[in-house]
Amino acid sequence: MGFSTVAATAILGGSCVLMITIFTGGVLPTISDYHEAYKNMEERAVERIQTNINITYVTNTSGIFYDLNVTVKNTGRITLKTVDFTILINGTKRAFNCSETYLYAEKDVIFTVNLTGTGLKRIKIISANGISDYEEYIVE
Amino acid sequence: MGFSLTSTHIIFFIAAVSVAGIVSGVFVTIITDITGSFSDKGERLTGEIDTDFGIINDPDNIPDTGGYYIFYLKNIGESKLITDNETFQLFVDGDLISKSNYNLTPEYIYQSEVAEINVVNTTISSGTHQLRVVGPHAIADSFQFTIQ
Repeated sequence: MGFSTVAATAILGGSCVLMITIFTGGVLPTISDYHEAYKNMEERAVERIQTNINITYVTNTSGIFYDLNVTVKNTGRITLKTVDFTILINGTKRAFNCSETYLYAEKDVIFTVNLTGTGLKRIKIISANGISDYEEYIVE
Repeated sequence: MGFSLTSTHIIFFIAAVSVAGIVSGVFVTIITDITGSFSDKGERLTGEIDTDFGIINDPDNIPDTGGYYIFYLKNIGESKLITDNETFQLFVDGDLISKSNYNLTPEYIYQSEVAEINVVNTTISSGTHQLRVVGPHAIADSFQFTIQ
């Protein structure tokens, strides 16, 4: 009788250890991943709040094919990667060049867009995290 | 008498071990299922948190090229977005746009990249409209625009 109790207890104890191992092995990585994702989301939200850009100056070179030079100032607190920007001219996405890799806080960079055609150019510039600014410029 | 006592002990032993084994087996199976479900739910939640996108068009200048209005969708989340008309559903003024009337390029975009949503231009009349784009994990973005 005593040996039966010992054997049953050993089986139940062993299965308890197995259950704890299965549960922690499956749940802990999930909690860790969730925590990491939540932390990233929090960082993205904070970065979005602290990001601000302003188009401060627009000029163009002469000729049929000309360069539109758009000066953008980082008026926020986050360093922005210039390659991650998007530029729309009159609503259409355009390829651009930028001499700098990063746009630091309180600094300016010049984005150069190759264009044709005169008239009103409505420029929209969007950062990697979706913060944008508009400017209108007439090419004569 | 002695044999009966031994038999009784053996029967008790077998019964105790069997019951303990069955109970353990049931509980281990339940815990495995719960853990699996928890992991799946966790993965879905993580995916949901990592997914974010925005429509970045100039609302007064929607490009109309080759019979399509072009809407730009920027990945502002953490995860790669599969951009096709199975993953993304479009609503214009609350009406679901048929999958045959729009497509997305390229096939996927990473963080800070831009995809184009090409909508057949006969599906949207002139005037001001509301576009709602619903993507993976039901993450959505709305955008008000004017077709001149």
